[in-house]
Amino acid sequence: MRRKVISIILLATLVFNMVGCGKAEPAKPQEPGQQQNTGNEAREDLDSGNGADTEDTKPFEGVTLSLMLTNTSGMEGLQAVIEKAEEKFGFKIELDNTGSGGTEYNSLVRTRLISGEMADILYYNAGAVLKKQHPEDYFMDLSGNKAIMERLDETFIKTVSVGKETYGVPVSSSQAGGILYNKAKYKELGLEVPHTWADFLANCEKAKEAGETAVISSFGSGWCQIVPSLGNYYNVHSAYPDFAERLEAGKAKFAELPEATKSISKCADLIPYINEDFMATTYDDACDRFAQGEGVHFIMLTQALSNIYSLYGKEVTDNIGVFGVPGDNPDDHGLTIWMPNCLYGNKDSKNKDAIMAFFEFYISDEALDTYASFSPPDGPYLVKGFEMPENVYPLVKEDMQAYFDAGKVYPAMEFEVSLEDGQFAALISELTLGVISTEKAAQTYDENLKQSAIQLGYQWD
Amino acid sequence: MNKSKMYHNGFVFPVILIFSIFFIIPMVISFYFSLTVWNLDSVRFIGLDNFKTLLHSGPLITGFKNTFIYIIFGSGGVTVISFMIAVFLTSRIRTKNLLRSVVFFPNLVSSVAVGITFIALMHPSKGMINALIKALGGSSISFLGDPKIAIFSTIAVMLWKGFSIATVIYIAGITSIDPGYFEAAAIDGAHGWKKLRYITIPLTKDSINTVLMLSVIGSFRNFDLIWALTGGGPGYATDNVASSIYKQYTLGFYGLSTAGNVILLITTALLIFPLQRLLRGKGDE
Repeated sequence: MRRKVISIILLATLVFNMVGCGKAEPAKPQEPGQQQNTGNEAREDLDSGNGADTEDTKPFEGVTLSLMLTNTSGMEGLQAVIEKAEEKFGFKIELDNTGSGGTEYNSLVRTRLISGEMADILYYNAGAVLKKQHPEDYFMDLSGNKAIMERLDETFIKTVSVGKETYGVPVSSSQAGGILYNKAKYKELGLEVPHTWADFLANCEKAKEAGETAVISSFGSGWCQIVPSLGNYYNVHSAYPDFAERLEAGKAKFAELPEATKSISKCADLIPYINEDFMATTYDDACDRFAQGEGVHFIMLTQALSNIYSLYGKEVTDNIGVFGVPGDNPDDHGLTIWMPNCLYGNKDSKNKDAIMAFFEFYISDEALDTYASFSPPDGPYLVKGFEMPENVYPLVKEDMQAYFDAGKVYPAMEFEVSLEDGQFAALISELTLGVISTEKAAQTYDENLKQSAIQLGYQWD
Repeated sequence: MNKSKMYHNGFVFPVILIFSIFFIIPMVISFYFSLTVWNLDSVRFIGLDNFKTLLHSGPLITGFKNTFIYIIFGSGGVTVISFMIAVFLTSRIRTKNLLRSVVFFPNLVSSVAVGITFIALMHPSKGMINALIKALGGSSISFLGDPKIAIFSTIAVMLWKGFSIATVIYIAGITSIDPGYFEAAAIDGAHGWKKLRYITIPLTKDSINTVLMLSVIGSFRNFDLIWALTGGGPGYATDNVASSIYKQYTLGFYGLSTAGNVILLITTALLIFPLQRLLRGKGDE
């Protein structure tokens, strides 16, 4: 008897669940695919907004835009700009913070794009990572908007364009991937900024002899270890100006071109100089320790400055300088730069005009000033005619600007080449731990890039 | 069994429907996608290239190697050690009930929380375990950072978390043994080890099989703890098959990772079916 009752209950639950499923489905066609769950609200707001339009002159009163993003260092600045834009245009921007980082964010963006559930505005990388998502299928083309196109830097435009179409506006300034150094320690140890890799290693040796941690390394976060290698791209490009095209055609190999191999061997060179607990140190730990005066060098993106600034303030960041990962020629010491994250508009959004207005506003002097007052820039801006604000780190104003003025800067590989090795960090970990040799690491890197080429549909023989 | 069929066959229908929608159909579809380069909206057929790539790729092979290490040490450890704990907890001790709850506790904590806790405990310079080792005069060990040690540290955490369920299964098995056997054995002069060897172990064989089977399957599909603890690192040192396939997936290699899943499905089947038959057969003896 009891078994019967239980079975009936179970069956009933099953049936109810199925009815539930059945009911949920017909709801789908009502939403025309592109809006997120905020879509309905937006529509309601629109209706109520139409009535209020008469007394208000704000052009997009009642419109709600959704913005998909993940945790980022410049959040306060972004929010401040959004507030200003809301005041000015009358729309509301709802942040959809997914909170997931790195590769997980990539998967999430991919699935939302495919399933047609992308927000109105997406916060995302420029360069290879963007191009892998086939932006031409999903994002609004900005190339017809002169006001935007004429404001943006040409190098930047290339990294957010496919063919003749351009998709993104920069969220913040550019930044560099280079060797941050503690100026006070340099003075104390009598060191000078090195212009060749050998000189840099000599500096490390001196620091080590003085009992300092020569290079702070943070493999614990799973991406910091690749910065020395990526930061070496200026030198690779300088040695082989056509490297990018040859790599994409499957003709250039990291294992075969000696200057390219150095992108990997330089990581191996650092082994004697890094902190012992590098595997367990995270990016935040490393910023913290570097700010507190531990470690003479920290090979990192200059965005670390914003992180350190928010924790320790101006005094500490004033003590930090930067130089590019040096090559072998002291006269050609350049800096590899990174493009900022960007904002992209959803092609299928119902509020494209509002998005366009927001983008135009986002790269105006007013918006950039607002952003910078919360998060000082980590490098020069990619917006033409914008004067750097007052509160700039000396590292940006003096060190980085000098490289820009001398024309000795080049974007990192990911902004020039669509191939990408998502497992590069694991590879550098293995190299640093002595599991594999430099040669093997370089070969594996080439193979992983080939895998990425297959995925993109490149035909290599 | 058959004398009066209690229910109509149609009652199986909802289960079969759900099972096919969520398991059978995706499985069949995945065989197709494993033969393609797939970016979720466009598909290009490439034959068996994905399988060739995977069988030549270092990470997946390391993943397989590690999976077997996890099975041998992880499942083996759980099967043996939790049996000992169960025997201890079914013996005549005072704080039996309290200890049983304590043993079950790790299972109540989510794997991610366990991972984060042990990352802190095992930190080479700030962790409690290393502080203890240093206090005792040793030098600090990079539990999760040394590629040779990391996999065993991971197994240790797995064991810590895996004991509970296995112990409960064993306790149930041991307490269901008729006390008459023990009394009879005691009269015949059997004590301690002999009781264990000739009564407890043979009569809990079913529990042992269940635990072994569950833990082998568990080791195969274990992912959350590894991911939270090491992310498969350092390098690929603690990756199992599941986590290395997940990595391919996050890189956007959807066809390739589907091929990996097909390989995982086949190997799991090849391993579990014979194992099940072997253990079942033994149970019948």
